[in-house]
Amino acid sequence: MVHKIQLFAGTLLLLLFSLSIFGCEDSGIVGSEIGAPDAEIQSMVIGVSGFEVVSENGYAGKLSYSSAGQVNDPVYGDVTASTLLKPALTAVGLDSILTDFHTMRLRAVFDSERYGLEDPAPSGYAIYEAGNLWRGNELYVNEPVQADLSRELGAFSLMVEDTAIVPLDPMWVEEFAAFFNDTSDTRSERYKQEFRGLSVVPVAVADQMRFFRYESAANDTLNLGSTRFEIVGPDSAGTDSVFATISPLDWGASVVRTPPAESPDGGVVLLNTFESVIKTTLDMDPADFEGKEIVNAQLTFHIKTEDDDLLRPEVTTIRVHRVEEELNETLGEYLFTNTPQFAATAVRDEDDDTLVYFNINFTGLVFDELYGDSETPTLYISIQANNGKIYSATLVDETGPEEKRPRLTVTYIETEQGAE
Amino acid sequence: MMRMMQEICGKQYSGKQYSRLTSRTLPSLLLFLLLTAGTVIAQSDQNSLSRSGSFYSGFAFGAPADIYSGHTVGIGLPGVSDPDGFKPNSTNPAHWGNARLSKGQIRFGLAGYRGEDSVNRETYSLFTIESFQVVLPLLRDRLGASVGFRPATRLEYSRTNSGIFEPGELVDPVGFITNSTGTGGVNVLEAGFGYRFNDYISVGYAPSIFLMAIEKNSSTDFSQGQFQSKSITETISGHAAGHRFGAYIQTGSLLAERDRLQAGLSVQLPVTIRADLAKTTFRPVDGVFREVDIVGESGTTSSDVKIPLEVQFGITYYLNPANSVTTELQFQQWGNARFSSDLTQEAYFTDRFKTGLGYQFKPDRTRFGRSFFTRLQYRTGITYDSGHLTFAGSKIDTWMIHAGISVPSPNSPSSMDLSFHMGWQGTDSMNLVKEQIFKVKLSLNLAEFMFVRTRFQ
Repeated sequence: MVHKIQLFAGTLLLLLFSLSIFGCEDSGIVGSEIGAPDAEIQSMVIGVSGFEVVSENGYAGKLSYSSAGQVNDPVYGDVTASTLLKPALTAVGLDSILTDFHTMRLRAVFDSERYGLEDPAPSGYAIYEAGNLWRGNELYVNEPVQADLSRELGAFSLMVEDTAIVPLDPMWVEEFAAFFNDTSDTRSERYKQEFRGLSVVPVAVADQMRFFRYESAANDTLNLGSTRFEIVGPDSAGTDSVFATISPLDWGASVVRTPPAESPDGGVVLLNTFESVIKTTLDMDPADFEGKEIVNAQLTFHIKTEDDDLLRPEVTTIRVHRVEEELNETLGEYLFTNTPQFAATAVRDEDDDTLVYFNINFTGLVFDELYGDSETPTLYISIQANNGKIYSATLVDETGPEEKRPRLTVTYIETEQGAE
Repeated sequence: MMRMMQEICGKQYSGKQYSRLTSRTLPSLLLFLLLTAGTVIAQSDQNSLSRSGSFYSGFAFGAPADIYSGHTVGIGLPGVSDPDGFKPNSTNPAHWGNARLSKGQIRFGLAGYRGEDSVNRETYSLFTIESFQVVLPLLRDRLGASVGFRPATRLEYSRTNSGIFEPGELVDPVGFITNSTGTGGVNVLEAGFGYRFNDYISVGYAPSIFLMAIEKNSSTDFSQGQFQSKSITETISGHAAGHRFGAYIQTGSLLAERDRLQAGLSVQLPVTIRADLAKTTFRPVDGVFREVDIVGESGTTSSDVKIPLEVQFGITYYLNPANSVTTELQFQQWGNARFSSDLTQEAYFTDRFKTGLGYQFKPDRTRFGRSFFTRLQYRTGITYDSGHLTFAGSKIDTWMIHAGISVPSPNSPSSMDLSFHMGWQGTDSMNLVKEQIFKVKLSLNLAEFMFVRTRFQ
């Protein structure tokens, strides 16, 4: 019995001693250089082609901006735009406009981004009554709304300023006040059916386009706010001051591009107004990816640098809409109302900060294309948002310089290492 | 005969007592062995209580797992030339004919490794149930049968690989880290017979089933979120029949009156397994994660795995019953092994031989007295293993020293063997890994009279 206890105790002590010297730490870091790595990561580059350009007239009203000006763009066509405005019938702290006491003016707030010459000459704009009734939600690019040039309601000149304050014609103000002061139930409907609003028309503009703001800038350090109307009158000291502000009820732009932009050799034009959108598909053969476990796929588009002296709104975003089935609406409506499934921000050159290319993360699309059950989707590639500004860019296509052609870079883990 | 058995047991039992004893111990012994078998069979994914075995077990279908008889594990040699009456010997089927008692054995092992390459150093360890075996005498001292389960190769590793790669000219460099683990190996379920012609010659044959079950997992994460983490699990499984032959000769009174010379030979024929290969991962397709079989897509669903020829030969010389010297040579033709699912790793194989010299001391109690320590048996040895892998001409060889004791049960022929092993494997030059190895092995050897009831009644 004593021997059994000795034996048991001795064995236990030895095992405890053994366990104490066999520590367990770290995580297999030794020997990582030996032989082939367990996950060999490689990349392959696939040329992408088959771009079709489709056109649609995008929305031009009730957007974040509206354009006004005229630019003879040698690449993207001559663009002429007038901004349409219609003031609201309500104002905080103001029940009625007293036409013999109040005056009314337009405070036009412009975005700092411009389209046209970098050092423009003074541009002359005139304000007219719109030539016919319009609604912001029904305004489209290349479907112009003419101005009634018979009566000028105001005018201003602009270089690079952010704001223009334009007194409006008293007779027009009186017409507007009739609606504003009306208390009948039919006021709104009559206003919609009868009041044509204003049209800010470029009259002496050379290669300059400005964008009216309808939302305050994110970095509005000068407290400029957004475009609005102001009711002005003498205060108790006899000095003119703003009694109330009236926001635009409806707004938009009458934009015409003539001739339409045409894609140059080696490139394809994209316009955020949906006048030029790439339609394509991603055709991939699963056989090309046997033994390759994909971890990332990026579609690269190079931006073609224009060698003219025009300043264009900076194209920083590319968007890709993936459409599985036939559209039940127009392409413009679809692209405007649906969030793109893929998007990317342009990569800048480290030296001169110019925008060079887009890398779009297509990993999910490649997985679906290679291994999914659904039909190959149609891809619509556009730039920026349709926000009222006028953006344009040319992407290098499959006929451009070889090093800048569109390509799909697929990164994968080789899963058939050394297999027979 | 009865007197002889009573002497062996060291205790006087009547025939009825023996009958009662065996009827109690046999069911518990069998239950214990069955439970053990279940544990060992499941070892492909559960035998690693701690993290990892040798780094070099992570290639192809694992590193060769040596088997030992219960007592010669203390000298680090298989024991093909040294049978023991109270302990089963799994290394040479010829020894199974030399069985008077029913014998069972199970061995546990705890191994610790301190690995270092030219840059890093780490420690890892592994607990395993190494083998079990039951030997039953069918015709006492003439014909015996054995059933056992032992590993042929063992794969237990964990590796980490990290770095930076550039996906393309216009894609920013991405950092990655890959952690790879593997468990399993090739296990052998073996049943065979040994026949003893006379006092000098015995032979044996053991057919077996080689069971292969390996699971490797590699998980890769990236420093940029738009690169998807990827986990790939590879399983290789299959089975094939194997054959092992053994021979044993002994003679005595060569140089002295009580000396004895023993020689043993064991040959395991090559085994080719047509293994099923599956490699799975998850892919985000159509908005949901799907498990897919990668190799199935390419039509490759099998792999040829060839476990090479093994020859073991040894000589043991007993100067007298108390002192013996053993030397053995183990040869495995790994240069002829196959692993068709990864020819890069197959190319690392090279022929392996292992040899060593061991000394055993069993104190003569009439000479040294009857203390506790004179009941023990003492063993020590040194071995050299050329290794089965070669990298750019560098063989991964191993030097080890061994020491062990046998602790007999005070009132039965059963015993326990405890052994300690220490050595060095590989080299840290050429970015290879040098491992310092520490091992402790515990063998529980059960020896009982079984199936004797009818004889004594």
